Amino acid sequence: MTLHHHLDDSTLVAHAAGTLSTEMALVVDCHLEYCAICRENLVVAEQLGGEMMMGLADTAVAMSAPSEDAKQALLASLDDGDIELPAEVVDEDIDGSELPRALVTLLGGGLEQLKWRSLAPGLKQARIAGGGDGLRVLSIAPGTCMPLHGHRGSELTLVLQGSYSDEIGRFQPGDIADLDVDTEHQPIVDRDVECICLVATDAPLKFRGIIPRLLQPFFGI
Amino acid sequence: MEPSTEADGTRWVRVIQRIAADRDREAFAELYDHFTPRVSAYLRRQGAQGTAGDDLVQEVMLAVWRKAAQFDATRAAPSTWLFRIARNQLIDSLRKQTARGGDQAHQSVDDEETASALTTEQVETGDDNKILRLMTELPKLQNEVIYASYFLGQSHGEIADSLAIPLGSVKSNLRLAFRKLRASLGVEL
Ligand SMILES: [Zn+2]
Repeated sequence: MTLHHHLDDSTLVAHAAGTLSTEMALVVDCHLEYCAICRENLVVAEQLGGEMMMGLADTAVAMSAPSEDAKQALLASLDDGDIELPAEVVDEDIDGSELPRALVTLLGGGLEQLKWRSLAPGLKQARIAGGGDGLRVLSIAPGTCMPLHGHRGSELTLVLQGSYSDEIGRFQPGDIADLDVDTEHQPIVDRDVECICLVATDAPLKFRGIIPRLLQPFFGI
Repeated sequence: MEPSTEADGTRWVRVIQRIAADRDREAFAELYDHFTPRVSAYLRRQGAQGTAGDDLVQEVMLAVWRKAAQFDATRAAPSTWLFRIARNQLIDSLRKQTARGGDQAHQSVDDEETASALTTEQVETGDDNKILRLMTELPKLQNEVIYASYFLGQSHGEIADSLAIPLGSVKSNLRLAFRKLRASLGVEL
C-alpha cells in the first residue's frame, strides 16, 4: 500500500540492534505490517548486524569461545522432535482498513477492547493492558486543531484510523510520525472522522495538572 | 541480498538446511563451531557476562536447532538469521531480568573494555569483512553511534548521554552511517 511517512533510518537501526523500548518496538512492528519499504530497510539493518557479529576479530572471538564441555552438553541434549515449523510468512501489506496483527494480539481483539478516558474536549486516551507505561491509543475528534508543539524525547505516532495534516504532510492509516526532536508541528484532524493513533514514548509521561498540561502526552510539551 | 562472501554463505545455507531436514547433528556441530564464538563475542559485548552469559549463548544455539526449519535462504543470509536469533534471545533475557528486578548477568562491559568505537585492531584481518572495514573508515562520530547501537546495545538516549551530544545528533549520525553502510551492501532504496 502507498504510505507517505516512514520510519527514520536511525529508528530502524535501533530496532535491528534491539535497543528500542518494548513500546517503541511494538509501534515499529505495527508500521512494518503496512510497509514493505521499511521491512526491506530493516533487513538491511539486520544484515549489517550479522556482518558485524561475524567480523569481530579473532582475539575477541577466541576469548569468548564456549568450552568443549558446554558444546558436548548441548549436543547431548538435542531432541529430534524439538523443531518449530515455519510460521506462515506474511508478505502482503495490510491495508488501512485493517489493524496491525501485533496490536490485535496485544489487545486480544479490536479497538472495541479499549477503555477510553477523556483527557480534554475532543481528546480521549486509552491504555493497553500489558502494553507498558509508554504506550497509549489516542482518539481525537474530527476537525480538532492542536496547538503548535515540539517533541523533546523519542516518540512514535502511528495512525490507525482517520487522518490528520500538519506542516509535514497528511498522515493516514499506516503512516508513522517518527519526528526529529526539534521538529515543531501543529496537527489538524481531518473533518470527516475521528483520528485514532497508537503512540509510544520512551519515558512515561504524566497526565496530572491543569488543562493545557492535559495535552502533554500527545505533544510532548 | 547476497551474503558478503557468497561461497561461504551458500555453504552455511546447506548446513542449516541439513539441520532442518535431517536433524543432522554433525551439521549442527559444524555450524556450532563456526558461529558460537562469534555469537558469544557479540552477546558479551552487550554485557551478557559470566555463567548467565554462557547459558544465554547455549540458549541461542539451541534456538538455532529448533528454528532451523524456519530459515529461508531467499530472505536472509545465515549470519543475518543467526544475528536475529541472538538479538531476540538477548532481548528476552533482558526483559525477564527487568521483570525480576535484577541485572546480574548484564554488567557493564566498561571495566574490561573501554572501546567506544570500532578500531582496525578489532576487525577480523583474514576475513574480507567489508562492513567492518568501512566502519573503521567512517567519521569518528558515525562509527561511535553505530558501535554503541550494535555492539553496546545502547538506545539513542543512552548514546546521547554517554557521548554528551544531543539526541538529534545521535539520529543524524546514525542515518549518515547507515546510508553509507547500506550502499556498501549494494542496496539501493
Ligand atoms: Zn515505512
